[in-house]
Amino acid sequence: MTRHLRLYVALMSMNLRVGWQFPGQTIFRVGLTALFEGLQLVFLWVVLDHFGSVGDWTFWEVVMLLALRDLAHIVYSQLFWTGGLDTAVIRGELDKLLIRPVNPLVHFLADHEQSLARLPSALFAIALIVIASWQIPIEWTLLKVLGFAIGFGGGVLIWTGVQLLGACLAFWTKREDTLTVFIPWAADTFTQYPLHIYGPVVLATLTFVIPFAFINFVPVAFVLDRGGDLLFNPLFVFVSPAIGAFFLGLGGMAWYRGLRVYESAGT
Amino acid sequence: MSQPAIKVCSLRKEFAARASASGFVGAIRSLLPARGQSFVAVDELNFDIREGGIVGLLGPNGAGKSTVVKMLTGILYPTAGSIRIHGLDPIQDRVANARQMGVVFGQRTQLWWDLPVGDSLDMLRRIYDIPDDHYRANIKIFNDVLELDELREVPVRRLSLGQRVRCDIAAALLHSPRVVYLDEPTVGVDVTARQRIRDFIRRINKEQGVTVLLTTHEMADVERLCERIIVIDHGRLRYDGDLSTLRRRLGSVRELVVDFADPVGVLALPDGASLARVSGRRAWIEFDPEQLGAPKLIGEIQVQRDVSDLTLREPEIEQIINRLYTEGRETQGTLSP
Repeated sequence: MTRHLRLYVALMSMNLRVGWQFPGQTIFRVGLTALFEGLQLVFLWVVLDHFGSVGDWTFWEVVMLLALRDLAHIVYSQLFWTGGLDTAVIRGELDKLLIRPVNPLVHFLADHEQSLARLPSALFAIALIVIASWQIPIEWTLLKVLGFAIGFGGGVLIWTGVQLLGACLAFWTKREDTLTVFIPWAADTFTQYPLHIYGPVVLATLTFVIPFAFINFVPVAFVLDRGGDLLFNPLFVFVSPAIGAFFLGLGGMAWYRGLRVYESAGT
Repeated sequence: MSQPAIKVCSLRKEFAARASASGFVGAIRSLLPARGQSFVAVDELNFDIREGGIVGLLGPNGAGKSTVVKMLTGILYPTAGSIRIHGLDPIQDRVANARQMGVVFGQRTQLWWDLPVGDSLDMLRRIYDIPDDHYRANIKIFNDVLELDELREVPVRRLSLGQRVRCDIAAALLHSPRVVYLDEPTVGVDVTARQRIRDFIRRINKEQGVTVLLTTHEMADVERLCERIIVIDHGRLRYDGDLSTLRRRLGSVRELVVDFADPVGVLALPDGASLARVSGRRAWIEFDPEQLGAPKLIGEIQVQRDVSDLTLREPEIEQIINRLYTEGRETQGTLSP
């Protein structure tokens, strides 16, 4: 366990150093991300300026939702990015992980492209959360702080588990994109607004089947005292890490099933 | 006899042969249980390799050589049969087995593309938990033989193929494995580098008693390194034994190259000889020395025509192996030594 943790840190810092070799690319990415996030906010402001609110949520409340989603995404990308699995399966790049004395899944999750460009994005998301909670305003209690933090951690785990599950489909489809791109797209699309606006069927699906609701909707509803928009008591935010662990477990099972049918490549 | 380093029993590997349909529907369909046939890459394969042995695994393209190596190294799951590497199962005991083996895929690197060679090796030191003094001693040997020193600061992506393979070999041997798999280590590498790689492989085999399994198309590698060869074709064993036995069995045909004073034209040859090829004034004649002696053949030719030069050739190992492939396909049987 400690050994794997040490390797995790070593692989990650190594990839960060690699990322640092290309400062031009890093700066370009920072600029691009800033532009994208700025546009997202502007778009949101236009919509809310026109309609006044979305599902009774105000501009800053939706900003909080977005920022928490983005932060979870950034942490997932930094620590456990699984997006490269389809390419690795097709090109046979898992070979080199499988011949080393390390758990291949740990190695895979740790060893991916790293970019320092994520740091400004993370700071931006944190700043938005702080500003939003001051604008709304939220009266933070110890329970709310705990719920928010645990909900956030659980959200990262859920996101990672679902992404891993989706990425593992590449073991069987042996192709890039198609299904693996669909999941992040769906997650991004739905999680930008409070989920109850899509109606009870979508809300139930995204709560109980693919629990994207726990990534941002549940923790934010919890701190906003908007439990009425959820399908259950907002205190269920504390269950979020367990759901995350469950989905990580499913992802891990898919990974081991996938290795059985992994075909490597070439020669 | 001690237990063998590598023991392969009734090994079989099937791949799902399925044309992948395109688009979203195709992707969904590929998740459903496979219909149709599967493709058998390795079939009923048995062999043992003794500890400290150095064995060549040969076969034409698509014979299943790499599939075998990938099963021995735990990359691919066997469909059936068993593998034991010093008693360990490559899949069940993945981590323990990984510690005792080193792998070089000539066509692919296991180093980090964007990192300097030295950093890659250092990362591997951590992954394999190699003690410092041990690591330094090995690096010193590699520097002497593979001349790595000059490459330490160079990112892997900027290495030439020969340099890269040298680094990959060093990377595979850093943790002093007991068994080393080399999958086409000299493919595309120039003559000097190839020589250096060969010397190094021989050295670790002789000095450290490392068991080596080598797949290659380079017959010179086989002739200079391997005490024994295993030939497979269509995933089945065709030959398992030493080179000289194979040469005796199949290498009975010799070749006479004749340069005539005039263009070759019509040439009457005695029984046991046949005209293999003609180009201008030169003719390549194959004959079976058991049936027809070289002096007799040369005499018969000289009676007919003016000969300006003669060369007598032993068959090359490559031709022998090729003959084995063709024979194997015709008889579908296994040659035993």
